[in-house]
Amino acid sequence: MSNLKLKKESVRVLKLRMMITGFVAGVFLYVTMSISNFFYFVDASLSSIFFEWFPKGYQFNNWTRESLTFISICIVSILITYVYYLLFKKIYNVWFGMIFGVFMWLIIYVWLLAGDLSLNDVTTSGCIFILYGIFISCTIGYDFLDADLT
Amino acid sequence: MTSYNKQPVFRNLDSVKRFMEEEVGVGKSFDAEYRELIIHDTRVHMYYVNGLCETQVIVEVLELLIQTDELERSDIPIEDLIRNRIAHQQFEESTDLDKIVTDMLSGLMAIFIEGYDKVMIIDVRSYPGRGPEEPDTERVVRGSRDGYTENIIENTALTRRRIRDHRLRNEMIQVGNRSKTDLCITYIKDLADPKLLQLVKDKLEAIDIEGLSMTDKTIEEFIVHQGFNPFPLVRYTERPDVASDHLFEGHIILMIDTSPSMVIIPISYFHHLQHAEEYRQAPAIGSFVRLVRFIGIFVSLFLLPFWYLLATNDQFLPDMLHFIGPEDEGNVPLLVQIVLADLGVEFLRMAAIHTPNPLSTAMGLIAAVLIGEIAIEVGLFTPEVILYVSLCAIGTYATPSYELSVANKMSRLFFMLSTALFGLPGLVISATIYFIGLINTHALRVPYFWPLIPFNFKALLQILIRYKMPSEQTRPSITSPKQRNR
Repeated sequence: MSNLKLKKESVRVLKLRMMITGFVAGVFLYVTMSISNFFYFVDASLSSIFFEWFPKGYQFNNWTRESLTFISICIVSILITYVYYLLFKKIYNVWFGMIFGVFMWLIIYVWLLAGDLSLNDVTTSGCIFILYGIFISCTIGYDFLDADLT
Repeated sequence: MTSYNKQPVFRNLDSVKRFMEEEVGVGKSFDAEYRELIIHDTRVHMYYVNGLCETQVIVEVLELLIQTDELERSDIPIEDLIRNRIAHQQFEESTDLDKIVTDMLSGLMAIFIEGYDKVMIIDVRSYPGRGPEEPDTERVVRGSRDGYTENIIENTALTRRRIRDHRLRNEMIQVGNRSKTDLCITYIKDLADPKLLQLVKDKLEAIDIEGLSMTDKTIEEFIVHQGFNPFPLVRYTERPDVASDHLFEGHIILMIDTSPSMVIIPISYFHHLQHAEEYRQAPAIGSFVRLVRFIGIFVSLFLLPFWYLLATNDQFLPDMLHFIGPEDEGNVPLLVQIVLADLGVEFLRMAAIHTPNPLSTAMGLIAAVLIGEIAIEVGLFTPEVILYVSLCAIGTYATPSYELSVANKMSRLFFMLSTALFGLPGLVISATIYFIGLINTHALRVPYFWPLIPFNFKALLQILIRYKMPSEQTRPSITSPKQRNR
């Protein structure tokens, strides 16, 4: 009986930790992309990608655009982390995280942007997304490993 | 390595004397000596090594034995009589000739009795050494100023004084075929991870080496498989308060005789960024100091390559930072200036280590004047290069762990080269390789970049902000402690 109780607790704790991970990963993504945009390392910042996808009728000022991008990136990141948790939580491998990051990059950057990308842009955003993927995969894998042992 | 296990202890004292003269060098080495006493018509020989023994204690033991000859009855077997009359609290009997010879050469006294098949061993050791002084590399402004010494007995005493828990364990083993150095594994029984403990013990017992002259460093290389990884996978400390704090968290500490540095395992990257100073101030100030230190380390890693990238590629400069980048390039290309300045800082460091103290002030003045003023006036360096290289050097010295600062210096060189060769993709890709390398490192089954990746919010917050002591309720989980709550 107490064994069952313990298992439910740890799953709930895992899910909470996973959401915090997703949020922080989203913050990391937003901050690094913004810094890269500030130094002109990438051609288009996250906000411009986001708003390209948005209906063009509305005109927002800069602060509103940035905060909306930030919030939506965090929410999207939590969703992605949840999907990863459901599918891949048993895998604890850095290379898998890298592949996951590249996959995310291909979706969010290449498919949505579909413009011409310079080498600088590709390497900078690619590396940022690789780190993002490793972050999520290693955290969820290790948490699962840790919780399973205790 | 010769082993005397096959030989029984000689009952005849002349054979013992011959054995000692041939094998141990009694008579040849001036400091390996023996003393003969005759108690109730039985010969008793005492073998010891001068210099490692405490003469006063030996004299008191001898006094009592001499009195035994005169005052006591002679019908009790001589070995029982002597055993009851030796005025020392540490007494042992042994038939293992290996152990007897090793003990004698460690400073214990071996007593051979004619006709008795066991040897009595008394611990009369007194090693020469210094008292506990504050270590050079781990100074605090306020707090205890004692540090570990080269004597392992004193070190265990300093630790026990801070942890009087009955669950503290000090297990001693001997490593090294010729040196037979004492090594103590210290841990708290219900806090340390038993699997890790077994792993460490197995690795230590499998060490097959002649001697441990470079003590802690050699042991480290046997335990964590370093390979070509420049990053330190264990942490060293010379302060008892730091060591006991780590023991409370569930770490295991290795103490090695003749070295004041303790080896702390298991360790992550962020353990190298902690310093005792932060805990000696108020929590807010400690957190401030910690954050400033993180900024310093980040600066020492990335500032120079980043600045070089911005200085050579104008298209990356945003408007508000247009002052970055030297006005006139000077005679020497920027990259060569940076390399020369880095080399200069390295020379300074080596000179500071090798210069004897009286000369160091004069040398410091020369260095500062040379590199600063004259290099600029001659046209070798631009002021900006010197500014950024010195900022990086200062950031390097802000790292609490010396080994980590050297590893970071190597990484900075790597970033510098790749930025110089490949521009922005070089910097970004080399930074990613650096992080992936760190994440992939595992020291004794613990991920090196924990708690940043894999991410643990609570533990990361405890690292970024110095919590006030009453609220530190749980132990960090990488040590897998059996008890989570303090």
